[in-house]
Amino acid sequence: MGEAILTGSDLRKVFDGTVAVDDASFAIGEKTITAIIGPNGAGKTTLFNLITGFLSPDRGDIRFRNKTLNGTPPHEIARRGISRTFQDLRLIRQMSVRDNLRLAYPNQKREAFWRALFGRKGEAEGRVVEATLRLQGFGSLVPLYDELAGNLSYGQQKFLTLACCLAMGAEILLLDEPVAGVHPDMASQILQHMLELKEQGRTIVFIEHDIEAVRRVADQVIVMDEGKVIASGSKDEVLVRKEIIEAYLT
Amino acid sequence: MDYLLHILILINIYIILVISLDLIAGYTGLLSIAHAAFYGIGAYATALLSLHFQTNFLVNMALGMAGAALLGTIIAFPSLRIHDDYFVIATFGFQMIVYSVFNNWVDFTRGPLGIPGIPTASLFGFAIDSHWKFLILSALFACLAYGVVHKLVNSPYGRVLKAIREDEIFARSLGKNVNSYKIQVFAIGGALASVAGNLYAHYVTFIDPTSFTILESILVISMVIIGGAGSLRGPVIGAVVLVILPEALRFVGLPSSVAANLRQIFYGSLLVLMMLYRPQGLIGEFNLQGR
Repeated sequence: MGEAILTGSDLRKVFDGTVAVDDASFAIGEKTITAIIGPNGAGKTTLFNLITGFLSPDRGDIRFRNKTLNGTPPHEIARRGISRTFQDLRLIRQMSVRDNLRLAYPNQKREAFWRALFGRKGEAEGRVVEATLRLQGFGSLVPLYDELAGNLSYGQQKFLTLACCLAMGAEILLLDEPVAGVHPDMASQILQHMLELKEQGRTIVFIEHDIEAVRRVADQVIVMDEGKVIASGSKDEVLVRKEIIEAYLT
Repeated sequence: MDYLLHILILINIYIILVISLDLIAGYTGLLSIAHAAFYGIGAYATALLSLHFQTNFLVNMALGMAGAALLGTIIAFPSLRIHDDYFVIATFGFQMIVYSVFNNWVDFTRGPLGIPGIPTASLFGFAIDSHWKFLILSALFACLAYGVVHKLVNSPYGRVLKAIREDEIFARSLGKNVNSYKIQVFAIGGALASVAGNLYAHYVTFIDPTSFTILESILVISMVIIGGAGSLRGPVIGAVVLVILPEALRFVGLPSSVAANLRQIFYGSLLVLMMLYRPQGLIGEFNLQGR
């Protein structure tokens, strides 16, 4: 594993007496793909919510490039370069694909009140983001730009959420079940994009139940159960353990 | 003729109110029933400043806007923690507080007696002292308010507002400072609504708290809902319809006591029917009922 870009140490989160994350520690290497696996209720999504600031840990520390993220609001964490997708697919369905992508683009001057009122019209940033995405292999979205996001197929919507993460210019992408419920062709396309994004220097962490998907793209695997990290290491170390495969991936 | 001009002036004043509320409720999804409070602040700032300090129309407007923007900032704070019905109830609380101040702080506002003798507006030494002149002035400000909100909602700023309305969590995950936008929108919407209050005070030259009750807030939100929240033309149509229709009832020939009650029944029925059969309003794109 390369240098750790994102670390968590002794993280704990309790909801009404139920321990969702229990002294979990992890280290995510830069420019790697890490899969988080585990049964439902293992605390995987809660861990994502802790990293992205949607929840605050009761205890423990999360660091991104050696700076703590504790107490940082979600929008600020996103601006620092950590983007995420959600299990219950989130998009602005009433907006076009183009507007969803333009919404994701960071630091737009005309998103500020005075600039919106008095700034010159033009969507220079929007054009830049579209050109960038085309270069990054998201050209298949181009014919769909004027479609409402809500009219896309489920797989296309998941693809669009991935493109939104990229439009943000994020360094780390946290993807919550990126291929669950998606047609196999689209799933394969999404996994291929994840590999390409790693080649382009991004770091990806994804939650997944499908062992073939994990085998295909993951470098590292973190196994969670009842809020604890019960195993972590390279794919080759973790996925050979029979009890893990039987318990969590079949 | 003056009666017709009076109706048109009222329409202009209500257009400013509905446009400013639409920015808050229609475009950002923050259903507020405190809009009459902003309207009242504009009117009371105008009345008190012009009577005590002899300030002119534009100074009154600027200070009224500043006061309403400050109140808007305060009202926005609950929206950072509570949502939907709970937030509506919180705005109801603010509306009641501001109304109570107008009604009970007698030394300052003269309470239920109201404030008479507010001077008519004058702009750069030009007295706005006839219905025609006031119609032009109010139309100018209605167009300005429309232009400001149109510019905002059709810019990347407006795109963020719509994203907050549709999915606040998604907007946060994209790095948008949702709290800041909510506060800004309430400050801007409040400041614009205070302009309507300023015009109203200079126009009728007498104000009292009964013009700024919860019923007034409900009337404005009704205009937005009936016209169509989340569009600009919709609420304008809503304002035109709800100002003109009750006036039209006057000409049916019913006694005024019956007509007044009939008007309320008509409003209520219209709202119920709209909610049942066209919750997005006449030409709106956003269903406030679904929040």
